[in-house]
Amino acid sequence: MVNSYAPENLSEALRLLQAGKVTPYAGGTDIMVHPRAAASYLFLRQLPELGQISATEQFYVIGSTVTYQDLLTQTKVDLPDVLLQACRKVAAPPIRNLGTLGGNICNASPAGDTLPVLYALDASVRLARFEPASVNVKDTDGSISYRLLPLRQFIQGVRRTCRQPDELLTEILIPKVRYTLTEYEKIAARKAQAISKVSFCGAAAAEAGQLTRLALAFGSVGVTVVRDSQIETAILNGDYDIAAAVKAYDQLLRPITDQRSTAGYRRTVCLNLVRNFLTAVLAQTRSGAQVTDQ
Amino acid sequence: MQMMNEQTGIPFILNGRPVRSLSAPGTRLLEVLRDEFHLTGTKCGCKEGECGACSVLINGRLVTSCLIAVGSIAQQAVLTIEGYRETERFAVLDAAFADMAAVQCGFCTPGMVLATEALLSEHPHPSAEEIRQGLSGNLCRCTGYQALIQAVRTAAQRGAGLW
Amino acid sequence: MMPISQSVIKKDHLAKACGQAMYVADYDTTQMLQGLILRSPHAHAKILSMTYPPLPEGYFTVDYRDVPGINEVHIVKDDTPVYADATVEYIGDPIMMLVGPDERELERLLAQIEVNYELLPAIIDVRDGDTAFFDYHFGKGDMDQAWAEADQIFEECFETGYQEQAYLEPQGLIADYNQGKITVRGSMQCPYYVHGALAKALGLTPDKVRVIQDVTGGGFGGKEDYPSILACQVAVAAYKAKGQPVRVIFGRREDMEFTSKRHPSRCTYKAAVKNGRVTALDADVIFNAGAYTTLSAVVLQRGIIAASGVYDIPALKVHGAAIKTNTVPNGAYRGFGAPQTFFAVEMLMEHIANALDEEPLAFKLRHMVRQGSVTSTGGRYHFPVPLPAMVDEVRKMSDFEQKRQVYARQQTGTTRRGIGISLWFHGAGFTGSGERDIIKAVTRLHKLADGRVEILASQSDIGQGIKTTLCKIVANELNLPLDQVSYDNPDTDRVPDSGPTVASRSLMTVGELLRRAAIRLRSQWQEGVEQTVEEHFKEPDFVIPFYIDKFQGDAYPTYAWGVCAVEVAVDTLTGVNEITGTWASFDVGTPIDLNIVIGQMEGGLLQGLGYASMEQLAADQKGRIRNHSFSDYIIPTAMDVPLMKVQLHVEAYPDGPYGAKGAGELPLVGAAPAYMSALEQALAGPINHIPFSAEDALKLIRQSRRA
Repeated sequence: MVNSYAPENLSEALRLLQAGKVTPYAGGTDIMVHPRAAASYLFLRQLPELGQISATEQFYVIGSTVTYQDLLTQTKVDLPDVLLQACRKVAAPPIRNLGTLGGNICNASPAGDTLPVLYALDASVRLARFEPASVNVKDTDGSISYRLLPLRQFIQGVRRTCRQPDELLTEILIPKVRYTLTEYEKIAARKAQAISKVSFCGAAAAEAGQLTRLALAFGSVGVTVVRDSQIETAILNGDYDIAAAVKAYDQLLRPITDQRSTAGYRRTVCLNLVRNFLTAVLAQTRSGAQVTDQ
Repeated sequence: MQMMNEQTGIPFILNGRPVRSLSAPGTRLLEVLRDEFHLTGTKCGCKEGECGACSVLINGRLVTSCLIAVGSIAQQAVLTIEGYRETERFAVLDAAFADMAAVQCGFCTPGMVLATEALLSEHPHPSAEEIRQGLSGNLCRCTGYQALIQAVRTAAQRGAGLW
Repeated sequence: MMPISQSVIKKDHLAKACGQAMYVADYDTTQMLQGLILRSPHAHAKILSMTYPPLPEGYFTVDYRDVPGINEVHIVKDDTPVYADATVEYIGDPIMMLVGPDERELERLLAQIEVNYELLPAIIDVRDGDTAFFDYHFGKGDMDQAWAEADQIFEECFETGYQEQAYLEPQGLIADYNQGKITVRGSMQCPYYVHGALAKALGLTPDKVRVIQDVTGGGFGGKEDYPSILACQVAVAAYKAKGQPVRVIFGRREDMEFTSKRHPSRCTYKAAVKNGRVTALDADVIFNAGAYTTLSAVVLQRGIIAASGVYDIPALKVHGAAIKTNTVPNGAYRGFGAPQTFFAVEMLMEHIANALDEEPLAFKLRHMVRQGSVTSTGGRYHFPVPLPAMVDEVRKMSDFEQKRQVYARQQTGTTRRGIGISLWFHGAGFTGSGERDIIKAVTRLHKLADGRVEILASQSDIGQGIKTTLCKIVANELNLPLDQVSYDNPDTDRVPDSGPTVASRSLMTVGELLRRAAIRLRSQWQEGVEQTVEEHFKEPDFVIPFYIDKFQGDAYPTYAWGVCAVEVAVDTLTGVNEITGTWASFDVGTPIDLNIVIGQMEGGLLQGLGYASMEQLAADQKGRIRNHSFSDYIIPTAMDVPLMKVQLHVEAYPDGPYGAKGAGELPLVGAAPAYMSALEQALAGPINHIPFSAEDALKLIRQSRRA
């Protein structure tokens, strides 16, 4: 007989994780498609520490077990709209009621719907583990130690992250930035319940007609989300015009053909989206548009 | 509540009554409902959370029970079609679905009914777009969705004040 | 509107809506054994040996050696084995079944079974196929003359893909063998097809076989022949279990990967055009049959009979072949061969019109058949052909001409729009003389002493509402309230064989039999006495006899007609299109219940639109079907549903009950070409295959940009 656990607080959860072979279970929407027969689950959704949405002066802080629906309905924090757009495109209502942002990240699917947005917005993740105090002391003594990682470092490959077996993802941090223009696109075979063929997030910030910040992130076209700060910098510097930028992305992107779509289609769509986004960005900056929250 | 297994059981509220599942905590809620509690109104269409036939309400939220490990819903309130059909709201939905002939083979219907309940709880007067969004996790192969959308609209009109 | 058309609350509505309706998977399983099928992992191989592991108490194996009767499933021909013995012919071919109390244990044990194969060359692509299961030819008129005199000759190839029925309730059956009698119950369309197959496979006389249809969650043809195969497999297991029921309920993956689908097709059409008219059509129709014959003969027959569409073409040469490949055997799906050929002929006419610089709709209208015209098989359109009126209705509803003109002009921006229209028919009822010579339908009405009447027939309500509509007919004729007439799910122990639930025949053919039975009962009615009347099918007098060997005569007594317009908007950045409107007019004769019939039209139309676009299914090079789940086989959700406006145009059919005609299949048949011709206008390029994806659209956009 195998045990599962519903710890009451983060410390208990981390101790259980460290002690034995338990599988962290947040929304469960990925795990339960192919559940292992004698799985020992560590249920997380009841943990108060992981379910908060808050903001500091510099960051939006989203708990890892917050569901997509929580993000869409909460009114406490004025979250970036482009993140909410991505949440709206996830699957369908039942999945949005169950699935979590932390799950989307730890699952590290190349097609994760929120990932291009999190990459474009320079999100970081906070990881926690239990540090036992020392030997010969009661094993409940100790403290939680945290580390912070940029998301782009955290996700390593298809379904691979830096999370150590005794770590839990606790929070996602998104820097507060006033973007002038953001865009999210999910291209899929139908309007709901679909895995993306291509996904895209663009985010641009301008001040007094000058482009100060630019991010273009692509999903489903690589083992992880693709984003290239060198190309972005070149655009910001004025070294690349739109044509040169498109050419640079053309050389960068290496999409594949799979059961959902073809390499050629993915490439063409990405480049079209790049062209379209940059055109809109430059049109805005040229017109000296007011900096507004997107 | 910390450790759970087939012996400790998993307590939850099922259609208003406290129960205890003696299934392994990793068992799909769908199987617990159908096999352990013999509530077969919740259907199995895919076991992947794609079709919505297994939809139930947990603490009022629409979820696909095939993707839920029973251990994850300890202490929560589960509502299936068997519980919902006793309510006044169901009577309104039932009449609307009947009048619009929104039930053909019926396999998606219990899930659709609960999806409608969840939708109207959030949007008592939903727009066409909101109706489509609300039903987007429930596949129907028979109706083409037209009669279903009309049924939801009709229910919203007739049930003014109930939601 | 006739009084009978007035919508009522369906008789099975409440049971389904409140979750009480019992589908086969809902029965208590505590006394039952479960069955799990071992399937071939190879597309073509010889079975050299099978080694079973030692099995725990209560678990046993079932294979071809356990078949008490003949190891053949009777469908049309009997080449499908109950369990494969010498060879396996497709990935998924059932080899044996493991039976026992616990499903997880069955999975564990099944993985230990060793089968040794000698791989054989497999044919996956239909173009490599060298075996034609069926090969038909027919024609009329003088082809040589038409070719010699032609101004222009067009030749095109059209391809259509698989379509998966994707009924929400997966297939499942329960079998029980007790005191020399086998009982099989479950999800099915044709209890008597299953009955016949069981008698043969178990070597039992008909009275020792009982088949019961349970509430069935959708069929669309996918539960027409397949349940016969599964029934024999589960029944043999039950026979061996000697008293304990055996239950097999498919999961979605098993169902999608291994049960029958719509035949993929390749149609090569040649057309001779003289003075702006098509004078001859040469149609070469190739259907991918899969590994066994199952229903391919009949599907191909219906498909090639429809080869010239709604057009009056004086010279016709049609060749059809159902080619064997080592892939899943294809079978029935709503439309049954006609969606394939209607796609071809409608797109062909579209392309010819464009080449002749004529508006396709005008071009099509000039060629339409009329009442009295000769059909493709030398029969007649005995009844009015209401297409012109229906076209007008759809034109008006959709604002067709105006949009067609606007979209023909140069479009700017990233969105491209288009609108298209298609015309089609569906032959009502069973093809040819099958109804008269093979089915020979019998129905009964049983009146109880208290005046309630029960319908005894073998039609399956699979969602199309015949439980309600058949009762409406009888109640109407007997002047009884609807709740005094009942129709239970058929049980072969209790009901005669009124034929299968296929070919859009249940309401038109069996409904008419019941109406006549009701008339007779009314004339013989005795108060307080139990009575039974029986009615046998009689072919209407006007029908020109159909000879299948020559494909000559009336293939169908009458036709249902369809016209549909589809409007699209394409995002040229992504190739993704949105259907911005669908408008359709359908003539299925008198609707026996307006809501029920409209519901059928809407459901079928959406399936037809899905067939053209998002529903993609392919076997890979090894012959394995890769998309075998709802996440990979994409059917429309409520958010994909376009604005849909459906109207009925009623041409009462005198030999149908109150004028009703076959309805179920019609709406799917011609939806695809309307959608694709809209896309052709939007993308300014030809479309010759479905499903047509966003990837295809983007390719076309790039091509026309370069041009």
